[in-house]
Amino acid sequence: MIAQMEEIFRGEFTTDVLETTVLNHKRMVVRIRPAALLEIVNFLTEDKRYRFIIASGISHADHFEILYHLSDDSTGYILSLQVELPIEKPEIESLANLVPAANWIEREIHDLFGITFLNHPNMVPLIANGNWAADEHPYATQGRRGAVAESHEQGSATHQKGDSRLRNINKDL
Amino acid sequence: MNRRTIIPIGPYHPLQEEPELFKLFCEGETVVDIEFETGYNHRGIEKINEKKTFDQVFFVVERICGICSTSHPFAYANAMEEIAGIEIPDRAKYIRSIIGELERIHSHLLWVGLAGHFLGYNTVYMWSWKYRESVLDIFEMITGNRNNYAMFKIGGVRRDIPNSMIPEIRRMLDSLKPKIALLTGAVMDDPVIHARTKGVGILTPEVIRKYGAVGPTARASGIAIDVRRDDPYAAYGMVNWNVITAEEGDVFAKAKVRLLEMVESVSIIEQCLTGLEKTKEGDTETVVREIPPGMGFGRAEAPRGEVFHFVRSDGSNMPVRHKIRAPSYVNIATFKESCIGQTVSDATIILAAVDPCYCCTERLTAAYQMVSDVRRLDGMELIRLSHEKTRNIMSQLENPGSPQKKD
Repeated sequence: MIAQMEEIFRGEFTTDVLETTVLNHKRMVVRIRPAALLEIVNFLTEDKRYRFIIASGISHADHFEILYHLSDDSTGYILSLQVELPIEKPEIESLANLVPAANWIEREIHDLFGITFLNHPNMVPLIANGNWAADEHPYATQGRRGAVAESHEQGSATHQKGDSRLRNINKDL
Repeated sequence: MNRRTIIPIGPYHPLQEEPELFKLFCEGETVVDIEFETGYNHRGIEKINEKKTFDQVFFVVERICGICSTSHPFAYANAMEEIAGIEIPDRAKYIRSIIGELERIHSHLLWVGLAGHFLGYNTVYMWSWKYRESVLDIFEMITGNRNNYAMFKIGGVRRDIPNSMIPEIRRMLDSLKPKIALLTGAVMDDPVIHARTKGVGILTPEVIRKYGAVGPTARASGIAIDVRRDDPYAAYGMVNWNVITAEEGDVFAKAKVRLLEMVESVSIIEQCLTGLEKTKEGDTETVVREIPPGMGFGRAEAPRGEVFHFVRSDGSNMPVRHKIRAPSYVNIATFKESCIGQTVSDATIILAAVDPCYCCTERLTAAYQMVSDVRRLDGMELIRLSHEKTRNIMSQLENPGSPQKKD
């Protein structure tokens, strides 16, 4: 049962684990302090042989949230590490140096939510690559209603941005 | 040697169904670096789903992938049933597994065909695509569609498989078995395929762990992970089958894993058909009245590996957040390890080996020298170079003693 995992967790990281929620016998969400992320992921992937599945960002009214989903393939558990980041300065240490599988998803979350990943080895856009303005993060919803409507009105201008990307490729080659 | 050539594959390539750009940096014939760019066709499906009701989401996610169109609804249904905390009837479980396994067979046949095509072995391509048709016929009989079957819903399946149809499905499966055996024999014993794929594009277990690769890509490197066994869903916990693995990690091992998996899939379908006969006709759904607030983590083993869906609900009729991770997202990243040091002609089959389903030939459009002298090669230029080389070789053959002319 994943409840045993909960005890191990509480024993190893007493101050870093803020809250644990057991959803059912194979799923658990653990809210942690953002500063302890690397240490806890290292513990899970190295000592416990967990596999990094993916991370998912969520934009709430007053904060950002990232869930790091990890899977234990010997038992079928999925453990999600939950961190909350303030809107004013959403930044967190990058996992990509420790877990290369996190490289792309951190770039994607940066494109979509505007969250900064510190010390990422290759922080270039993954999907935003010239398709929209560098400071525009379509999945970050807080207080952006006006901005979205405005960009819709300037539809043709947005298309121009898309074209510039193709031009860049031609230049590259 | 400091002359580097970039061979771009994409972003819009005639044989590639999705826009993506691979830049192969080559020195001579050897690939020394590879860069990958995506996002040309970001459809924002995760965002669209936040404005769809839980039932409508099925139709959106079914259209994420054109080949394995059931794997996403499968994972989404698992996620939703986890939030609702419900168990579906056994008959619905069997039907789901039948659809999932038929899809694995047709997807693997499609890959074997494409792999043969990349190697220039078009007989394999023609055979396996012909045999794939008979799987699509079974689909058409069961669901009414060759693809995008719309079979899944929260709590069960939309259509039953009537018991009267089972003998016909068995007959069609029986006729498929010798075809799969023939194809397996043709690929496993062929010296040309051995020569082209053995020892090519090896992925070690360390690399697989590093990039979190899944599915046949991981299993061909000796990492026995399979969601169907590790986190059983649908009927996979109720039937007997084996996880196929290979140790070598090269392209041949990936082909072997896929071919043998098809045999397992046929066996799973047959057991599920037996299971269907034991359950009551029409009992295919647990009615779900509402979705409570919560989080659901749904997984399904697609032909290419683990599909992961994360759904968060707040008690309304639409998801607050829906995160989708397709297997190619993690598998494609392994190119960085598997392609470097290989030749251009091998790179195409290595890129294809994780089954991102795109085809590429050596399409050279631009070349530049490292000393910032950019030179563009168009079609005419390539033909001229080719003629020149042929003339060169012919003159060599006529006068064996003459020194080779520099091109």
